[in-house]
Amino acid sequence: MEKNLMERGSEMLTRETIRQFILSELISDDSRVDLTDTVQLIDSGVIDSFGIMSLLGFLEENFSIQISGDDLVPENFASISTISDFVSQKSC
Amino acid sequence: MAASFLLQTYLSEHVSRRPGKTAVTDGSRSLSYGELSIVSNRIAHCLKSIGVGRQDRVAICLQRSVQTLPSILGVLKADAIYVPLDYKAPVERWGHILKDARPKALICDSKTIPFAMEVMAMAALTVPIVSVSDLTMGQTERVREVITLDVIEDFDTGEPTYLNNANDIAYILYTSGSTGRPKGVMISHRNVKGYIDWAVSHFNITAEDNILGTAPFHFDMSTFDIYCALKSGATLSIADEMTLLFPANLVGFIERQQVTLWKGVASLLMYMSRGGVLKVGAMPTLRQVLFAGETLPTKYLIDWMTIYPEKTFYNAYGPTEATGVSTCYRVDRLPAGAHVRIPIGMPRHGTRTLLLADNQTEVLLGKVGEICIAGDGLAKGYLNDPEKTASAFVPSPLIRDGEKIYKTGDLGRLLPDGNLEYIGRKDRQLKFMGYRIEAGEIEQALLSLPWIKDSAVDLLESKLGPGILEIAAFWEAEGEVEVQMISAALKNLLPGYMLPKRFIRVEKMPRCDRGKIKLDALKKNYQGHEWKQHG
Repeated sequence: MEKNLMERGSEMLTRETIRQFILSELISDDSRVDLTDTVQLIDSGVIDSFGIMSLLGFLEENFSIQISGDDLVPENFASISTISDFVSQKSC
Repeated sequence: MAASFLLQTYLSEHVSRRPGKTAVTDGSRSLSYGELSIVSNRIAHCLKSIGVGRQDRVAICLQRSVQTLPSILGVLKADAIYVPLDYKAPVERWGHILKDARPKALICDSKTIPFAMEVMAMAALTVPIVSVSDLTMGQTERVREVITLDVIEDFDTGEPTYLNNANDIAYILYTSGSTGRPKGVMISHRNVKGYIDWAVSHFNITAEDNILGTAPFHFDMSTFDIYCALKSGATLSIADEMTLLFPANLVGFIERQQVTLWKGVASLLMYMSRGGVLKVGAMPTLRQVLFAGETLPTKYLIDWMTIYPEKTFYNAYGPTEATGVSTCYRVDRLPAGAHVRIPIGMPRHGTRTLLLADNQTEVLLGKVGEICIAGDGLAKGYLNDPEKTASAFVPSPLIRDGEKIYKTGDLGRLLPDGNLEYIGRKDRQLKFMGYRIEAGEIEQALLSLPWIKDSAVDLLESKLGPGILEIAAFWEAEGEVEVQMISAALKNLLPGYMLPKRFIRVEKMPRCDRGKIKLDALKKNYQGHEWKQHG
């Protein structure tokens, strides 16, 4: 079913929040990557083993969710879009 | 002069005795000792053919893969010095390192070549690039120089003659340095030998071992992985980024590779514990675990030790400038609680430590001083920086004609049982009311309280007026915690002048990727807030 306006608005906000975090905390040099919603974060090295801990902490705090070991699978962290879907799923 | 030892000669014995034994693998691609020898010889001859000579520098800029090992050895076999770079580092940092190191060649793969080109364009440098992208299994490898030379197919596979001696530099590692520019630490063949001789004997590493490599090659941590494996004829299993990112993958990798020994950065052990992948009976072959690089919060160590009482855990400490591990502590019993601090242990064989006060005399037993290190691991200094070298590597003030010591900038104290305890960084010294106070000491006192999860201490302007400073403690906790409880408990731990005047609760301590607390962000975020002040 098509998402209503409010849902789309909150989804955009979530994505933007995640993007801003990645730009300020995970990317040392933002000229390298054009950070679209679908850019592959793991393949491109934006998320690495040093950065993922701070990303998890940020998501938990900012979206008031608890991330468990079972959530730590590549599919959830592939792109800004999948992280955003994962966050809304956890917030339900 | 004793027969000069060179790191690449670790290979020789294994190449003749067990050439088919796997030297390095990432789980899917592997190189045997025989292949490693042949491929590294080819790379050495290729480098020599483009003019790389004794003690020239060659930058290695590769993705995390099995290709790194033959490249490292190839550089050493060309009598040159390898400089491992992080291809994901900002262009500016790259540029600075290349300008400082002035490499004669860059070893890249297909993914890193575009980055290298970009950096060279920016820094106005032209350095020949040797691509090792097509290097597979030692037979079909094509090593070519992509900028100025044509494709070269067949390089000699024979071992070159070596011109180096043990005091020549083997590699240069750039340390990040919280302030200022990266500094290139120059490590000799002899520096590594002393360290690895100790490690192989101390951890009883044999050809039967399988060593897990999780450290990036531009970190000093990887010295242990590479050379312990090569000296003992063991297998090095390199976990790629996908494996490191997801704890369940890492456990799977450890089990499939039958890893026996792992020296990991503390945050990765913490991440695994937090990720809920530590299960009784998992990773059965893993016998020894060393954690290093930063302090592992004791509660995570307790997790590990409770689930795996059969494994042995070590806390390893050492700056890049003293090559690998300088002190090491075997955790011989389960810590009594999360408040217990794990010592960093005693100096390894070939290394000595001393604790110096600000007036350059040794501190009294039990008092906090700067950890200084002497011995066979001490680097030759920083490349192109005699000034910083002279201020960090100094003659020991305790002995006339004293040997060189390296001043770590870390603070520690000696425990009654002879073990050292790490306190924090020296540059976090607060000057308050005429006292010199180590922020780390107050933070440690806070952390020893059962309610506190994390803490940071700094000076903040007080409400009494501009320029009047007071000690502020930022703290993170779970649930209801009264500031009065914290303040009362601290009075039993710290002298009056060290007691924080302000206690500011934060939801989450802001930390950089590497774990360092972002004090500026902290102060900025909480400046306007209502202070939870304690009179």
